[in-house]
Amino acid sequence: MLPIVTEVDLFGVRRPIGGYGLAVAIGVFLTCALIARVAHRQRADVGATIATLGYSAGAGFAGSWLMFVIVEWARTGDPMTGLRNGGLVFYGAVPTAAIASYLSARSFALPYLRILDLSVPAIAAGHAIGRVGCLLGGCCFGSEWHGPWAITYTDPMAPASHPSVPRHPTPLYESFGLMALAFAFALMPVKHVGSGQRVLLYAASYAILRFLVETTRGDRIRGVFFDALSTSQISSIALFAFAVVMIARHRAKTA
Amino acid sequence: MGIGAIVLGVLALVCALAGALLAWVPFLGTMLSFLAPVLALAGTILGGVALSRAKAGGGESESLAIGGLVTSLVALLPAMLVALTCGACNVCTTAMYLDPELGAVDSGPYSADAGVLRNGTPPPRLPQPYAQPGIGTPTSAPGMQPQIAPSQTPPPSVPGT
Repeated sequence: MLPIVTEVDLFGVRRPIGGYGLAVAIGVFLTCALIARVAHRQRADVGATIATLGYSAGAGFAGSWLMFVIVEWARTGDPMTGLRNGGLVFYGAVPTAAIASYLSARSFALPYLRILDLSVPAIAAGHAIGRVGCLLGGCCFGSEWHGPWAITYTDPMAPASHPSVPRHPTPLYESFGLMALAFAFALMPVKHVGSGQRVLLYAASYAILRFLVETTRGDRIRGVFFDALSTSQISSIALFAFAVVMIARHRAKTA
Repeated sequence: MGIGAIVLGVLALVCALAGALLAWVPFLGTMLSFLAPVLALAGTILGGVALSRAKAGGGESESLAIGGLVTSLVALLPAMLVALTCGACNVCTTAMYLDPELGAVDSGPYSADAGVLRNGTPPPRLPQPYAQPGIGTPTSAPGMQPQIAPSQTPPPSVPGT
């Protein structure tokens, strides 16, 4: 689609601005800005919230990169493959960002679950924008498909253009799904805020969305387990199970 | 802490610029590119903590804290772009993995692309149905990795297979 959005001239040296990087940067900034706004409206410490966001962003990027290295290692049997190439796996960011933000919020005495519960639409919206980067970069592409809204990547820099055949617009499926989740959670009546139920419900919803979207992915080269499930589908099952168990435990406690 | 945030923000900007300019230098360019967002994030954290302490009357200057925070946040965007252009890099690299001839024909406007190609990073085995005779099969050159010949186009795949 648009792997290179534009080029900048730095003292006579041309450098590309990648569509993937731009979309991820916008997504991260938007999410952080909206979460800081939530903290401000909740009269929480905005400075501490920004510091917590910094910790979780750093941990999130580190986790998603580590997951990429591990997945590449598992796929090729060579630990250097992941180190030689750049790449991020979203599911790697979830545990590391959650742990970092929890520890940071605890040290700053922030109302962690309250802010997290109210930030669900922001997280979903930012993720949706980040997924547009996959569409622009031609990564995370869909399987071959000749339906009415199939897209064909022609830019040779996009992995999806090898071969250049009509494909499912898989990143768009996930992006639209995430936007729908963002709207749904924004419009959902705010109940039990601070219990973590909203964020757990979002985690379960996202796990279902991701599991379904994965069935249209065409880059099977990134790893298939048990001859059927991709790495992200296994992660989705684990995330869904965790979220459902936690919701059930909370309901059992409050019942 | 506010001053620290400002210093880190400025350093992040310098690293982002140097990382972009020196992207063709192995190791150094990569290190600088990835150091930039780390410094900017560290500056953001310091700025946030400084702002928190200033609001709580902990002896920090609020204006310095905001200055540090703004500097780091301003640095974070180009720093992330420089680092995540590795996303585009990844696209290029993956494309070259799948089709090494692409790199030979168009080693890219960026010298880093040529570097990736000349390192001869082996492409992975192509999945079915691409790995068909003549497509994605090893060439006769000793030591060469599987390649797709530029003149050959992948065969039309049958939907549903």
